[in-house]
Amino acid sequence: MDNYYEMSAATNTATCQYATFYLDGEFFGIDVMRVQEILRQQSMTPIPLAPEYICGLINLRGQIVTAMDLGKKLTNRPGECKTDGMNIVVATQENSLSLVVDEIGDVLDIDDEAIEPVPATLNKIKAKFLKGVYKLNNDLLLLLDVHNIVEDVDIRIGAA
Amino acid sequence: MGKPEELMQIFLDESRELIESLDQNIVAFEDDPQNKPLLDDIFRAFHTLKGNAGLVGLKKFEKIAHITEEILSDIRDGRVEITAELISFMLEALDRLKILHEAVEKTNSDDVEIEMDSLSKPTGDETQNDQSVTPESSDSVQAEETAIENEVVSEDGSWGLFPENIEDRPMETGDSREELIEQADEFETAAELSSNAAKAAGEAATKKTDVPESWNKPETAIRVDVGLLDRMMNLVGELVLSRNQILQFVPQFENSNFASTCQRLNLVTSELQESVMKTRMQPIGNIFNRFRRVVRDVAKDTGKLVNLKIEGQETELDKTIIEGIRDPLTHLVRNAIDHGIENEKKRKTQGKPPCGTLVLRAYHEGGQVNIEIIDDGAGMDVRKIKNKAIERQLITPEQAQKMADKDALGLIFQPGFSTAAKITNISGRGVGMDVVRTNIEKIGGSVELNSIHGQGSTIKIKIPLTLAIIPALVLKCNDQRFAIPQVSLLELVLLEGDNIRQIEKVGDAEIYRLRGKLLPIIRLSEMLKLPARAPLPEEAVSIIVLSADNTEFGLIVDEILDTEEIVVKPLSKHLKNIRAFAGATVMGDGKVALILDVVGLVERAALQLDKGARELHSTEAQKKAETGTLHTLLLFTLAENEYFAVPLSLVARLETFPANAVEQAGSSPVMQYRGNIMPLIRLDSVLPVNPMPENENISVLTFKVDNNDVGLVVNEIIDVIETRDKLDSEALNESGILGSVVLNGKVTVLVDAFEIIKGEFPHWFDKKGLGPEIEYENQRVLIVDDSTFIRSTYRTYLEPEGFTIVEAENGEEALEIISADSFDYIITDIEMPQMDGLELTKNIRANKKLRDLPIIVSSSLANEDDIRRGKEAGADAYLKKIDRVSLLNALEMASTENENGEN
Repeated sequence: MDNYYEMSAATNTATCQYATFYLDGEFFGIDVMRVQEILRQQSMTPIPLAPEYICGLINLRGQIVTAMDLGKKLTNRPGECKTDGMNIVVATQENSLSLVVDEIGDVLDIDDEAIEPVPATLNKIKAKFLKGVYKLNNDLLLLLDVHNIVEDVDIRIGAA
Repeated sequence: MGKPEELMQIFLDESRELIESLDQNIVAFEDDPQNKPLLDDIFRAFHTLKGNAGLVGLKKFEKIAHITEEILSDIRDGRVEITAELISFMLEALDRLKILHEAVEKTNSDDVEIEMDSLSKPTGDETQNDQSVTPESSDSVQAEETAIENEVVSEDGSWGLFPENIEDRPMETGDSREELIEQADEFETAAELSSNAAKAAGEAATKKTDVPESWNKPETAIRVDVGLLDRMMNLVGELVLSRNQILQFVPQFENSNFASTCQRLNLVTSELQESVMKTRMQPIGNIFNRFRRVVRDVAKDTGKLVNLKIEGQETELDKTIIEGIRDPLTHLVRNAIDHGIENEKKRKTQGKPPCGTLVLRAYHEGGQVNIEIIDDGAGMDVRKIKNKAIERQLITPEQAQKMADKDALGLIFQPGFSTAAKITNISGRGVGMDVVRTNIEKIGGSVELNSIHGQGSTIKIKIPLTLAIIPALVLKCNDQRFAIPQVSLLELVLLEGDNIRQIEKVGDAEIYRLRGKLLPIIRLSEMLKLPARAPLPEEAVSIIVLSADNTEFGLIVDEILDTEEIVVKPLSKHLKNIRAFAGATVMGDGKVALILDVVGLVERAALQLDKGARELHSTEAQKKAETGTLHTLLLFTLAENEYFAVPLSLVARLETFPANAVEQAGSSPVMQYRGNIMPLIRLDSVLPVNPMPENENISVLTFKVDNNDVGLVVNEIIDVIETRDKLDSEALNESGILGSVVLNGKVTVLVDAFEIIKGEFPHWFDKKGLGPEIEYENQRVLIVDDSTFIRSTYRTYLEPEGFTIVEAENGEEALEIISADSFDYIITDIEMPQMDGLELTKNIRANKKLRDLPIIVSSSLANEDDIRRGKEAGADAYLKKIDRVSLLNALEMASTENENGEN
């Protein structure tokens, strides 16, 4: 999957499609090629001792998918995990992972050259999770680096 | 294909297979040198290796394969005879290929330093045997060969593979000749050797094209990526779940067409599941056969003769499990030869055949695969194991004494235990049997050892067929379901009502006494930091007794649901660090449940358990100091639910008689017993208790007072219990009652049997009735014992005789008392905290003033050794049994003994 993603990124330099969504009042986008499917709220099995940003496990047609509270992952937002949002299921190297977000937006075509570097003032979100920003008419679209997000493993053991 | 990396991967995969098959085939060929097809196989394998290596540009790899191929070619054509050296050479060449293979795997290049020199040796051998080429007498060449060999050996101590001279050698075929010249230059016959080698090399080069075309066997198998198989497994698992759901609908529709279609779906799904499972199955022979080489090498290194028998190699197992048992099995096989099988000489003296037999056997049994490793070697000496374990402080000498042989054998699986007297290169690699056990447990298996000293050992490994689907126990904790693999499960315990209090708290840790064994308790909700739930007052407590990593512990959960076959799915790497879960599974209702990792739980809990064990240890020691040694009590009832006990050591026999055997003599009940008339005492008539119910049979405890038998009639004999619990002698201050003690959560009255008997038959206790006339009036006795119970028993015996009794709880206290007061006798226990009885005796004997004080040593462990040690320490008499007569006899003996000592 990853190879495919990189190939598509390499061959298609002009424009790229981004799946957009809303989360904690911000507008985000991720490479649409990484999105496997989008699900409504799912019943989740909580995982004791798991890192804070993990919401639980979803049964996706027999496949067990770990759901991640993207808001918590990005900003270390305190409080309970969001389990009632939309699930964006993305493919990772090992198996699928679901990103829980507030609301799904459109798929946007964005010119690679129009993507600007992340402004230094945007320090709420860890820099390595952001690929860049894209200016819309009346909003700022934050483009996320999915790879860095799903491969970033919190090595601390649970809450112990 | 096409990309270089892909090509390399294919090369690696294929050559691994070839090298593995060569390992087995060469060894097999050694046993059966006439086997032409086998030789052809070996030749073809080297040829393929050479060709493939050339294709991907691995020069060193190619060269080694090439040299070997040439030799084989000569063997095939009958120009060279097969010798043990040649076989060894081939295996060595193979070993070098393995090293290169590993290097290629890591770095994509075979550019590693490797001992190539010795590889030229058989080229000489070959020419040496080829009489047409070598006019030289073979003996002298042989001598040279040995010299070269010695040279190589001495350079780095062994057939080293990484000598000091690190340089890139050019890898042309002709180089072997050049190297040979270089080597041989140091010796006198350089000329002959080099020319021979050159000739041989040239000859081989021309023959290279001579490869038979017939070796391309038609392929009946294809290589499939394991990842793809895993995916298929998952999909089939999913299909099985969907089928189960559909089958539930069948009754609702009442449509025969639908029903029969579902039936078909059911059958096809089951068969499909089975077939897909089979794709992951491999015959265990794949690893068993590898041991032919291992056994050969180890036997050679240790100079032993070993015959390997492989049985049931067609037994199939999941590939993951096959991989998982490879290392433990290798360790066990090496161990069996290194420590098990004796050398030829020793075997002969023991009347065994000179060649030891090692059997590797695999078979299916009850949905599991059993693997047995059987050797007819020395077996294990239980005594030695125990001593070693004591030395390593794994057990105490007392534990060792009580330990059954089977349990003692299990000690070798304890961490820190290695049976090898000396660490050898072959089996003592710093990993012990504990690692073997852990590895086997990791794949859900178990291992068990049987051994007869002098006759051999059998190690039996039980492993599941597959890891993908396992039987599991489903439980509930905090309204969430969890599964526990059944392999770790020992038993389930349900505590209700008052029994819940049997879970004791020691510091922060909890323990439960399971049949006298201390079981550390872990609460799953605490372990997983789930919100605590206030237990309902009448709620039962479910304890799951688990075993993992050599630890047994009890897991308290909210509810135990059922056992189910579950499909194990791995967890995302975000969750791997938790270590408490082995995976997850989809339950019948489509919800996800986590599978508990029992080993991980133990590790997580280790801190807690350790702390618990430590505290427990100190509390036990403390308890022991407070309340004394272990008593064995006989528990019985009189009326319903009234519990009584007497020390078992006082009771002569337990008897049951029909109630009508009781006769009346005057006003007292008596019965005929062993040819005499035995008076009976109904305990409900002498103690302030409710009357006993009348039964068809009566239970009688018989006691002996001097030569008189007497029976105490009780209602029912319940049990024999060992206890350390504190005796409360204050609460019930009645005559005939020693005190009370809490046993199994019930208040139990300790009956003073002799007091009761004395009340009925005072004349039996007349001091005049006993032995020679000794006046005990006003004599002072110091009783030293950590058990309150024992002390009060002695007091009961001695006070009526006129003795004045002083008590001390341990040696130290006794010494203090003695220094301030004078005594006529000392009766002391051996096992006591602070200062034991032997130490006390020595101390007293060391004191000039007290040298002649009569000392009687008593102990519950009355064996000859203790008696001897007591005597050595300076005791005058030894009390083997706690009864009145023995005690009085001992006092008498001590006083006369002491007088004799004075004379």
